Amino acid sequence: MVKSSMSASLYIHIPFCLKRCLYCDFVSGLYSPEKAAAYITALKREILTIPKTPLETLYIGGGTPTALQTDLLRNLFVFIFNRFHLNDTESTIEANPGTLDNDKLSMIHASGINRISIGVQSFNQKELAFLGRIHTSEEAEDVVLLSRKSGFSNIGIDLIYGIPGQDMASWERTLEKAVSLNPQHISAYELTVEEGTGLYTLLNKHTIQHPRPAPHSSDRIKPMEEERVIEMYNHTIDYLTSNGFVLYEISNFALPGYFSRHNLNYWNRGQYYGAGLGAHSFVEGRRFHNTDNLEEYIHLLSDNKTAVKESEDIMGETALFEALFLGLRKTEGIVVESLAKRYGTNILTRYEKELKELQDARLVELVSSGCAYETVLRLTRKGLLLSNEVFAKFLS
Amino acid sequence: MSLDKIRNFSIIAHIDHGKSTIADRILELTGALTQREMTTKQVLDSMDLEQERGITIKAHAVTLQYEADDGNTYLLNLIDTPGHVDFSYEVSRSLASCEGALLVVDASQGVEAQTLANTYLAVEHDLEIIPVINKIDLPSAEPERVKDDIEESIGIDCTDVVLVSAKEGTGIPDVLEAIVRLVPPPSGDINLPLKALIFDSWFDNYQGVIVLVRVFDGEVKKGTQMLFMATHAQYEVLEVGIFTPNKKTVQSLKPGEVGYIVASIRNVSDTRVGDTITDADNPSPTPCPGYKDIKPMVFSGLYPIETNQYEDLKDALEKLTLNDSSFKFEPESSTALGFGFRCGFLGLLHMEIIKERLEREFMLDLVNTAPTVIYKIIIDGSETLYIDSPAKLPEKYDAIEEPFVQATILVPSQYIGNILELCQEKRGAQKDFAYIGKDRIKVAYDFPLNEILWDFYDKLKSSSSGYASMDYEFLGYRASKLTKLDILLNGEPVDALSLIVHKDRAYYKGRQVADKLREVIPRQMFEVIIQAAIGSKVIARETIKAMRKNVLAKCYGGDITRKRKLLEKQKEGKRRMKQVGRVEIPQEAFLAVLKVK
Repeated sequence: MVKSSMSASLYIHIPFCLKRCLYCDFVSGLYSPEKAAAYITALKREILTIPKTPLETLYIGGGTPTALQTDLLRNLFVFIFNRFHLNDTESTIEANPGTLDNDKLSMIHASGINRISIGVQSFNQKELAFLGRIHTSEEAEDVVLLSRKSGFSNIGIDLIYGIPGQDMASWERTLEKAVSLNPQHISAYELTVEEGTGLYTLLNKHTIQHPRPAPHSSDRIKPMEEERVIEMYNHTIDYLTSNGFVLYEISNFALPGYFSRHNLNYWNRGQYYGAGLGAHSFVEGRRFHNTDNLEEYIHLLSDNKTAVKESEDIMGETALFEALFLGLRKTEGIVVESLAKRYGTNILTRYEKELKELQDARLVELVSSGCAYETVLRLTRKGLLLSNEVFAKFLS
Repeated sequence: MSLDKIRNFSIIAHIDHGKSTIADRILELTGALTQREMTTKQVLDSMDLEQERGITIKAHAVTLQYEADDGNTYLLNLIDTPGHVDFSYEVSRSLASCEGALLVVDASQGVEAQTLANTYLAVEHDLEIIPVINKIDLPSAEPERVKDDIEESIGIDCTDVVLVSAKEGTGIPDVLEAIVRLVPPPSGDINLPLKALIFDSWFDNYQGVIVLVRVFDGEVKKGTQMLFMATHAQYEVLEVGIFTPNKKTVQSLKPGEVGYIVASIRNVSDTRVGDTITDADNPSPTPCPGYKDIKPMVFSGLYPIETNQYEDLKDALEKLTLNDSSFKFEPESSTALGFGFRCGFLGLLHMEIIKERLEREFMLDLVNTAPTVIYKIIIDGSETLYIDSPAKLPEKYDAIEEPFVQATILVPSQYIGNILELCQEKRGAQKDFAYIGKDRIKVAYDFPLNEILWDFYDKLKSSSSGYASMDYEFLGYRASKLTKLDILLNGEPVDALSLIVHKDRAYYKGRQVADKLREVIPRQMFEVIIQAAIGSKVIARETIKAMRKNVLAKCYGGDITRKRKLLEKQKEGKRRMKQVGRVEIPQEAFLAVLKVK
């Protein structure tokens, strides 16, 4: 899976939303046409500094990229597609129901974007309201159908489980609804409580009344019990697998042939450029990222200065550790020999004791791949849920 | 300097009542240090830890020149004393080196138990006591009430009490005048054989052990063949001098004088506080009275978290004992914790200080087991065995005795209910109950030392809004109904967690300990069964369910470094734990046994 040093992916960040969701900790602020226009000008300046390398994949994420007006979006796409050679490339846009109409979708598809990842999160109205989403369950459904009508044949749906108050039946219905819409890709993420989010405040407040009612009861909002979260995860795997989806990463499912190549590139430690507010890059062994202050970003780029805030060379043990904890997120695992070739370390000897313990605990398994005498290390199903425990073992 | 121009004195004060500040002001006023040199506040507390904790661990002595109002120049020797109950023997030796003491009492707090205990010590040594009321600048100052307090609790006449504010420097000249006027000059005969009392010693990297002494008779100078009367060690004196507070060599130390002696002594165990130095060629027939070979009262196992730090720990402990002869250690091994050391301390504070120094100065990660006392075991009717660890309790024995102490507690009367309840809880037997002044009560209780080892002092403070104070003294061994409580993890006894407990409370304690362990031991990859047992009888059982989920749901968007750091942080948490069998146990677990009522 090692890419030539020349190739890379490109990530473009659009840090605007019509409303901030309760759980979100991504770099994003409220949309305004003026800010968006100034931002796109700065963003284009930054994109010009990226070498004209052949791109493996393109991903336009956010925030809500589709919060932008159709014209401004088109303007950006024309710019990107003129600058880079992207014909057969997987080009994804993140889209949120409530920001899309037929025209916008058709324009997006016509511009060359061939994959759409739709932030549905839930098909339960109360859950959507709790999460702070701006759309209804029906609107989400409509967007999926409309996307297909607009020409998209690679559609992904993002879902969230483990929402306070959510029950198994509701999650089952959400999954069934998702499958019935025939997407090619489903990401199912456990709701993560990140510090600094509204959700964090809500769950850590004990006495103060909360701004939103819990989706299914009027009781105090509590995080979901771990046992139930595990149950939901297991059900997700069983249900989606039985409907032809493949679990190819801890939280990602797709029909064969529709794995997200852009995300696989992260897990394979491939190169990527990130452009835009707070965007991260990984180029020639160096990780760096931009400022996450919008005014500063615009200002720096208007002065033709770099927006990079921090940078770190990843070498030796750290690189190997990254390869392990990223690579093992994929259910196909990692090829021991390829790793040895790329990082100069045979993990079978380097982590002999750790691997033995992990195997005994049935968290990982070593299998020989069908071809070419390769040895593959991968997580077991039990190991998926305990993957952090597995990864931590590889830290000396 | 003739004897009648020398004054030797100590300062007795409760923590925070201002001893160090008064000492600083005295140094400043006598010109020993300039204002600028005083910038590192509280010069006498030189160890970092002392400054941080606001207590004085080791005694020091300073020789000052003071020109008094009568026109004469006096030599004042200020002998500092440690301020915590754990070090009461060292205090007594410092006091034995003086003829007088300043009794410093906070103008708003009044007399505290520790002050009382140290004042009694001073009275026993026939010291002239000069009451000083400090912090009179505070709005809450009540010097009149505190005067009554001192008179009633100690019986010292307070008509000539000196009122000071060390912070603002007011009253300090009066203190110095009072010392000159009231503290008797030392007596002694230079023609008698040398007799010098050691009241402190420490290890210096360049000069070896430095001994602080008060000379009573004779003279000590370079070349003197000195003999330590208790340890029988013999060394040739290389240098004598005084601290002003800077180190200054002098020709000799004569009767009444206080100063240091350097010989090439490598170990402080030869230079015990309280021992007498004499001249080997012309020895004194009797030593200074009151020497005691002080023994540690509290024992705990210290183990490196990483087994490969064993040698480092050993080196560090050896270095620390160079400086602290009251602290003892010997190798021990635990099936649960591997190789470590059984360490003896004067008290809990002493233990905490040593552990902190090991971790901070020597960069060691340590686990310490629950502190315990020494139990006396009688076997076969006659044989006596002393054990410093529950793991060493033999299978069969006739009786167990445990050390008892008498604790004296001073508390404002409105908190007495809480205090009596606390004492009851700790198996205390009331021995005294008396009012001091109108609104304070002095109670005395006999306790098994083990009961007040851990959180007693903290609880005393928290149940009295910080006003109660305490001092204790050792009474001796008494028979008790005790039994060993074993803790098993997944069926395996963990020796480092076993306890000796009172039989009447064994069941309750067993349940509490198991419950506490369930709280502090994190989930593992497998189920952990905690059992408490007496002999082969299991009396409590708790289960820690296996960990089933620890996963990052989202790992995209390119910020890989943040995810990596999250994993590193998790690993760091594990590194702080000790692996016993397959179970990873955090430090709190070893002390959990103490945190139950």
